[in-house]
Amino acid sequence: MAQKPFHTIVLEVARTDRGKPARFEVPVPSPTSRVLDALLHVREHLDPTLGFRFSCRAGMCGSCAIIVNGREMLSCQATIADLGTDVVRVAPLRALPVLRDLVNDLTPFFESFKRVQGGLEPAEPDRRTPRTMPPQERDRAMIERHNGCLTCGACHSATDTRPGHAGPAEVNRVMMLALDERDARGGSRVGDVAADARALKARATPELDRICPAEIPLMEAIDACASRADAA
Amino acid sequence: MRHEACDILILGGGGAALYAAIRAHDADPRLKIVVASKGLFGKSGCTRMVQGGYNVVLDARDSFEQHYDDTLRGGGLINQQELAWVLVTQAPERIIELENKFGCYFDRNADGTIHQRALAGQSFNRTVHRGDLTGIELMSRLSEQVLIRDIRILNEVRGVDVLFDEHHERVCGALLLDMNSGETIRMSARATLLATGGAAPLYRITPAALEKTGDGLAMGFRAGAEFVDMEMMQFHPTGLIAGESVMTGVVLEEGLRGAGGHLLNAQGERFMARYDAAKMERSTRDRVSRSSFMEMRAGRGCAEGGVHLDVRHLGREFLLKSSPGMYKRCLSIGIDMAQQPIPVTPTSHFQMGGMRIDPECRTSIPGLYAAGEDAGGVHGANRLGGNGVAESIVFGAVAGDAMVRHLAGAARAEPAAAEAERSARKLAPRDGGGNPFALRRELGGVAWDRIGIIRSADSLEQAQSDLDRIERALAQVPIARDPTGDAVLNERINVENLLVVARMIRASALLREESRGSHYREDFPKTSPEGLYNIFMSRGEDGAIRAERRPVRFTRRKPEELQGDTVIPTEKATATTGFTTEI
Repeated sequence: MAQKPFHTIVLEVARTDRGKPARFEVPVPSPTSRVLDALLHVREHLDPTLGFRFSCRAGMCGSCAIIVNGREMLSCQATIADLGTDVVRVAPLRALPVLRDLVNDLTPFFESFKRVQGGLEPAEPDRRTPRTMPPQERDRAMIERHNGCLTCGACHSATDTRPGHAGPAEVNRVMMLALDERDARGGSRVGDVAADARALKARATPELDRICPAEIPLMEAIDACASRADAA
Repeated sequence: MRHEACDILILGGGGAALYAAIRAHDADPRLKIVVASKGLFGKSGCTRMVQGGYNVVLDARDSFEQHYDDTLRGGGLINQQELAWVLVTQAPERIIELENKFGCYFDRNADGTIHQRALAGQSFNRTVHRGDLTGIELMSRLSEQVLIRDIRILNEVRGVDVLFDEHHERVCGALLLDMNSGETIRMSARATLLATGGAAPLYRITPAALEKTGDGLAMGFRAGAEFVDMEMMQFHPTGLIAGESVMTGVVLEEGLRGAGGHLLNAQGERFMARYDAAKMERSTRDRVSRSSFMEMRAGRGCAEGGVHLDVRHLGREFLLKSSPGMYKRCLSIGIDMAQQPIPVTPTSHFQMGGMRIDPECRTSIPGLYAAGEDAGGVHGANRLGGNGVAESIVFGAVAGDAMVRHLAGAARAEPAAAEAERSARKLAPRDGGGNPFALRRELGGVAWDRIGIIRSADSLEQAQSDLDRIERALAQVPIARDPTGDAVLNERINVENLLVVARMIRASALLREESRGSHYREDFPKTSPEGLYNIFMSRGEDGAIRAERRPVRFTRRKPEELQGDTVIPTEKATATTGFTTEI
């Protein structure tokens, strides 16, 4: 990190209510300063009407995913000095509707989770004791590798997943549930996302796994659901 | 202003809010439940940021009594004993529900049983966790469960005020503000839950989500609810210092200290020897934070402005295995913790005080419920690591169940229109000058210096005039004619609410003339045997704070039964058994 701290950068922001991007000159006080710091600086000192979203500022909530110099990132984790340029162009995620400036409407993304019923349907909802679930069992190890999604929407943007379709995050969640011994529907869930998984497989590139801020092997989940569906 | 109606209105988007929504829905799926979250539901707030885990008695060798006594000792014996008992006794059902019904998966022992570790102040390994980032698991699964149910989510919609019926007897909804459109909503509800989180971000350095501005607390205060223990704010000792970056203040989990990390001042001394020679870095959060603060104040702080957390001797392999999330977090600011000491500072972390509730989460106002950090009394003067998220989950469930149970007696009443109009007037356009972001910064400094880790009659006196000055300046801040996505308006409301909480903290801190738990008075540095009281307060008719001390009600344990220190399990620090003291 921080090979080359800049004193100031030009922050170019896509604005919804203006034809062309707004340009702000923003100081970068520390080698650790993030793109979110630059956005907060604009809001406090230059233009309070700039719309952007954040919450935890520690890479845990997935609220602040945007496009930074062409690539999906969490703005709270994107270190400016690492970008290697003093012109930083920020834009909202692709494929999801835009409410304002850098703020995407994530409703279609959440609706998609709902459509694929991306939550446990418990096989034993009233069980009163914890299950014995050895972590080394094959399915459990696979689930663990795929856990940790921040539902930030970056994968929808990177794969151009349009409203009405399941994106990599939902395919990944359905795959986890299909393998989960606690789920009432289990393997039959894969059919719910099969068509979307095949479509994603056709257009996603391995770059997807590097874009995911939670470093989830999304391509593996897409492959698993697409091929299971083939076999079925 | 739009009018809407529901059966249950839940303000908040974290663990307590979502748990309440799920439980209420499952108790009666016909109910119309609305969750209004200031950020995106399930992403906003602090449950998601939980690191260490959830305290729960699951092992046959552990007991409710032990967990309970640890909690009261940790709380300086002034906890509301009935609430702490609810926490301890209902925690197991909830953790099992989280796993078997909602799909959480917690770390396992090799034999497939749930792994538990011990956090500071605990006499048994009772913290269930998922790695060192437990909150992501909890909130991901709870969010899904909300999504697959018929629960209405209002994202980026904040509460402005709770609203009463025309007789001003009962809360029957709230005035909401859609932060994107700027539209106000008069939402009528048969039960209203405040679960918006505490006001830790009042202080200059904090790990909490910055949108947490004590909104529920301020709404409750304005409505006349009774509060308890407002002097009690917890500072976590190891907030990361990451230069001028939003990452400054985020917590490094105490597993690093528990596993044997050292705290060093600028001279390289393990300064805890001066403050707690027996427990050293494994002392409780309040003591370690205070000790670091005193070192910094004495000019022995490190160049970055705090002290150093040194874990190099634990080795890269151990660190990567036991604290992978923290390792990555430090790497992201250019620090390899296996090779460099980490600059850390105390950071404002958790609000123990809040609205007084009964064991069914009812506040002193009919129709109004509180859970999580909006409620006070569970933790007394200091919260143990692992009891915070347990509180959110347990009391979220209690509130959800209780609201449904009591709905039978709650006929629908409409909020008085005049009251909604009055509340909405403070959002009306006006001219003026000033920058609410700068005022918030100023307030953060005042809180840090005057009502923070170390207090005195003098500092509290000065705080009064500082808060008055900020309040006057805030009144001048203009409100734009077009409220669409207006960050200035929202920051204005934020500062207004933070000021309400700051005044309560100040008044309460002034009244407690002793030091106990997280409350430290430089002019009264000893814990007094006369200090076994709680400070209750509420807003008087004239708008001023009315406060009084009332003796602690020792309904289950007497102070003499709780003498002595908690014996902390001293296990060999391994990747799976090092103690930590994180929420």
